[in-house]
Amino acid sequence: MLGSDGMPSVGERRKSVLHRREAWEGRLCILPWLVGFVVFTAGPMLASAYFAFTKFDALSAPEWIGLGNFVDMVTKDDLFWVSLYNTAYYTSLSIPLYLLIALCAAMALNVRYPSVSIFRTVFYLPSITPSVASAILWLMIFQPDYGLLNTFLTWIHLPTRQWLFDPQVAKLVFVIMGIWGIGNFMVIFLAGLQSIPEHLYEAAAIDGAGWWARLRHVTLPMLSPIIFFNLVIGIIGSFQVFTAAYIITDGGPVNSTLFYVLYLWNNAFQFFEMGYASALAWVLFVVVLIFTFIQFKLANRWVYYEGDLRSLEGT
Amino acid sequence: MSRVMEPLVVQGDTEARPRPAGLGSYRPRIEPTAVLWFVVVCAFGVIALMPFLWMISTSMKLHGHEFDYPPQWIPHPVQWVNYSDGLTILPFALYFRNTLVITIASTIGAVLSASLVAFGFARLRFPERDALFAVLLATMMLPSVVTLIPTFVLFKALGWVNTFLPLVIPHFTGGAFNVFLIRQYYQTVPYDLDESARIDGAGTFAIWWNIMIPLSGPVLAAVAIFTALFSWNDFMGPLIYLTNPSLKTVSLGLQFFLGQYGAQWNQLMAVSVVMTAPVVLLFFFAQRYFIHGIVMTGMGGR
Amino acid sequence: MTSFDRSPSDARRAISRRVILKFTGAGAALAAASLLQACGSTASTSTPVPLATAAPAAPAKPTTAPTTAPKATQAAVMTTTPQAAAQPTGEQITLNIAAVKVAQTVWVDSFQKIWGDYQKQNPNVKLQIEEDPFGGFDVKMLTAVAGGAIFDLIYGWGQWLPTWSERDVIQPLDSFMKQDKSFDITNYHQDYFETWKGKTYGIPWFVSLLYMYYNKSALHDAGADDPQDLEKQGKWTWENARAVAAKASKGTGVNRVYGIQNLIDSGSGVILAIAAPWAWGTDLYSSDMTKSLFADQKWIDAVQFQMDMIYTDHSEPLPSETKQEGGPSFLNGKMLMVFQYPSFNRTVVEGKPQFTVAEVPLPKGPGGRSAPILDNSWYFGAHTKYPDQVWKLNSYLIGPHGQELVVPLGERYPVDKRIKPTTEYPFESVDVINFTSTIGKPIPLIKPEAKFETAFTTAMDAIVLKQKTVQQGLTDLARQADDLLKG
Repeated sequence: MLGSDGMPSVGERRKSVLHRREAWEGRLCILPWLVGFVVFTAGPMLASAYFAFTKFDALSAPEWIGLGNFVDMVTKDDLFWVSLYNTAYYTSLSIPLYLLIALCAAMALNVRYPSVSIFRTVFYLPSITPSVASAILWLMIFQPDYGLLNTFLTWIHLPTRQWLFDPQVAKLVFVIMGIWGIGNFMVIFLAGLQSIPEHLYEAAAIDGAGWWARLRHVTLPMLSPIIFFNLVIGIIGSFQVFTAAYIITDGGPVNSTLFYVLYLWNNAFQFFEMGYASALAWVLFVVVLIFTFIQFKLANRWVYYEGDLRSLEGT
Repeated sequence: MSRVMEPLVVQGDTEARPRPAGLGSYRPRIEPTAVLWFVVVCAFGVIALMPFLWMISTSMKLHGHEFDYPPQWIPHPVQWVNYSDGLTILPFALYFRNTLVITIASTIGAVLSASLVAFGFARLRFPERDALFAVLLATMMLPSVVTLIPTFVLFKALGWVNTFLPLVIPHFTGGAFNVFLIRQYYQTVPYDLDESARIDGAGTFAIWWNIMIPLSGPVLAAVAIFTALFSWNDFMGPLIYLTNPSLKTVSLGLQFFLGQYGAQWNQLMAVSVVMTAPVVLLFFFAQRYFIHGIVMTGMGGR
Repeated sequence: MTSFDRSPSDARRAISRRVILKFTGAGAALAAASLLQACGSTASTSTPVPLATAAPAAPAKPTTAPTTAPKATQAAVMTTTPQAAAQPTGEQITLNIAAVKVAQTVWVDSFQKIWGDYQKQNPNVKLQIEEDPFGGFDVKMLTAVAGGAIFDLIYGWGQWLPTWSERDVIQPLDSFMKQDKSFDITNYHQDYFETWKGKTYGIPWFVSLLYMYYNKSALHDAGADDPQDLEKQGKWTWENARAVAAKASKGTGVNRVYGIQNLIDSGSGVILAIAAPWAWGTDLYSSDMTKSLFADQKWIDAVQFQMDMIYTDHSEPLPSETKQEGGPSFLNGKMLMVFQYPSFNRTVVEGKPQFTVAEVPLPKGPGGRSAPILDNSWYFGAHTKYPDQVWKLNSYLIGPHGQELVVPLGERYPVDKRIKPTTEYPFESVDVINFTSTIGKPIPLIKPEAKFETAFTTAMDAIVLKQKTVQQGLTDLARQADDLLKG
């Protein structure tokens, strides 16, 4: 506020000095990240952005082709659309499923019980198991003639499918396999559940709310920031699904499990098309950015922050 | 179902007052639902355990019979020798040591740097702050496949190839995800604490070190677990940066079991079991620590 | 920056919110972080963890250890190993070798001897071996070379040969062959050389020829003709092989015994499938490499023949059945005739089959027969400082001592005609090996081979799964291959 003489008051001046100092301290604090970003991250990211406009095999100098990669991607490359579709399919099925299952698992494990930590470790274990071991196990379970799943289905007189060898179904198999990886989401939900104040439940019970009402009016709203967090992170991650497909199907059968990053990988390291791969990467970047941005905008409608909303600015 | 919690709930008569059942409630004494819970959780637990159990089972099988049908869960004969063979055909003791060094250094670096950087983003104001934070978030969205080679070239120019440095130093610069995470967390700590500390004459860094860090035990433990898990399992980094055989890590060692024309599955599984065990133990113990910790400090405020 | 000004009651609520977000912190770390770790990007230097596996590949050819040390039974006719005439003596040099390593006793032991013995024989040479797992070797090599690494000798893999040679990562051997007076090219199976655009880039240290292994007992019990007998009578053709397979196949569902392996199983890729078109007298591309031949009638006939065996005779399993360990295989007696490279010998021995195993060359097709060969060479780095030394090392590797040491890995046909192949196991037949060596042909390469391989396996998948007719699938493949040929 200006003083009567039109100049900043003493208080104001002191505040601005403090503000300046705070600004420099802030910059100092983030300096490690900034240095890391400038030295380790920015360069390679800019390099890949440059490569996106070149034809480049990583063994010789890149050759500038302007928008060539992007044009080819959209007009000539079927696999671009196929892999994008595969990834979108996977994401749209898996994220709701995983979050739901993780939430249920977290609620189930949110108990006071002496050995519950063992159970929690058990549920988290699949996330720690090396992918190679899991991959082979999945192949055995989903094997059409011999596998456990089809054997079980036959036993209860349900129709069987060819699973990983059926282009219609193979993606679904990956969605199912991914369920074992929900440990990560689960732990977050677990932590979130444990922090919901007991008195809210008590108050709800006193008002006569049954368990469903409590779920809808206490648990879910209080948990919404975490659900939101998992959603954002989950989507970013599942758009980049790669490892399982790389190990198990390598994109087959008939490209039905060719996920976007797998296709990108093949272009980079097998087809010697690093330029094209970079273009693909940046397209994905834009797609993920848009999705994340939309999520943040939508968050205002359903995410409930119990405290001061403004304190969560930028999230 | 009850919650892991402290006496807070025990206000008054736990039996006379109807307790909200189901979510967030105190567990009733007679528990048919608890039995049901136990059965269901055990059933799913077994399903969740399957990959790991199968891994253990296969690790003890005879070579060539790892995939016999019908699948054998308990192998006959049990080949413990797979463990000794698998762990000695390559210098796994050395690999473990290397991986341990990298993991510990990375974890310490991540925890320290990410918390400092997050503090800057969460607590201090400067004009570029939000823009830089957006940049930080954006760095997570580009598949790292395409920055692999430029990054390698960079480290090569720095002379860091064939050392642990490319694997460890970047963790000292506050990984984007960790920073995001901790920053979220810091924003829940009331500013009042900072203000009262300032009134008492504490400088910014003192606030960070003496107030924020102690309060953020849980999230720092989480960052530690995450970084440790990541470093432990990291394959690509060691693959391209470590060429000297005496520097290699366990994840690389594991990969050697897969050849161009087939794999030594039983030994691969044996080494995987051994490799997974430390991480499992770490999670088991750490998880008790931080979840418990959160509940205690969180509830205490009310 | 927000204001944290609050009333005390707000503070209380804020703290509980803080608790929620503490969990956001705690759990989110694990959730998202691990998720991203598994799926993609977090720390600046890390990337998704691709653990390659050879498991889904149908002709799994594990190289495993023999139970007894192999004896070199061939008489080494050569008196001198071909080597460069003069080399600087006494000067200590180090050769940088990029090699693939497999954690198998036979591999580790064999290479220890191979490199060790060379260094003993040549004390002025130090071999610096950079060993990497096969899964990831492509990434490692590309990254290293892109970063400027110089290798003297590189483990060869045909998939990279075209690009590496054109990009000056490796150099041709033609000048070395000419310069070395003791090197007489007629002593070698030139068909086995790895070449690209008329230049030779690799003289293989490891050559495998494709032939058939079959379950003699089961075929006999089924009353089918014995392939070896048919071969002796000159009647071992695909028609007869089909009849044998049909007769010997039996059983249903999980217990079905299949007469013969599926050649066009996409899990095997070109290295197996190519036996079919070769038997029908056609090839992948025209000899001038301007056009692909997939749309030819001969290709259609060849593939249709296999399809008939799958769907009409039910004597060949579907890819879904063989594409993993545990499905019908030779060793579990559920597939009676298989196509394999000789490293399969060790698998057979270790599997201790309860039936008699025998070998026979590939059957004749309407257009003749040729056997695909898999050759592994060591490529010469283009910028090596010691080309003569590298040539000397390579000569050692393909020479009698080197070949002797390589035998445990399963090699059966030295590129040097003067070195006789060895057999170790009773079911091995020198006649089959010798005969097959006369019909061996390397698989034509195009650039980049990975792209072609992918197109090929996708096309085969579509055909076998009946998503496309044989004609349609092959026509589409022809179009794609033509595009690739144009570069």
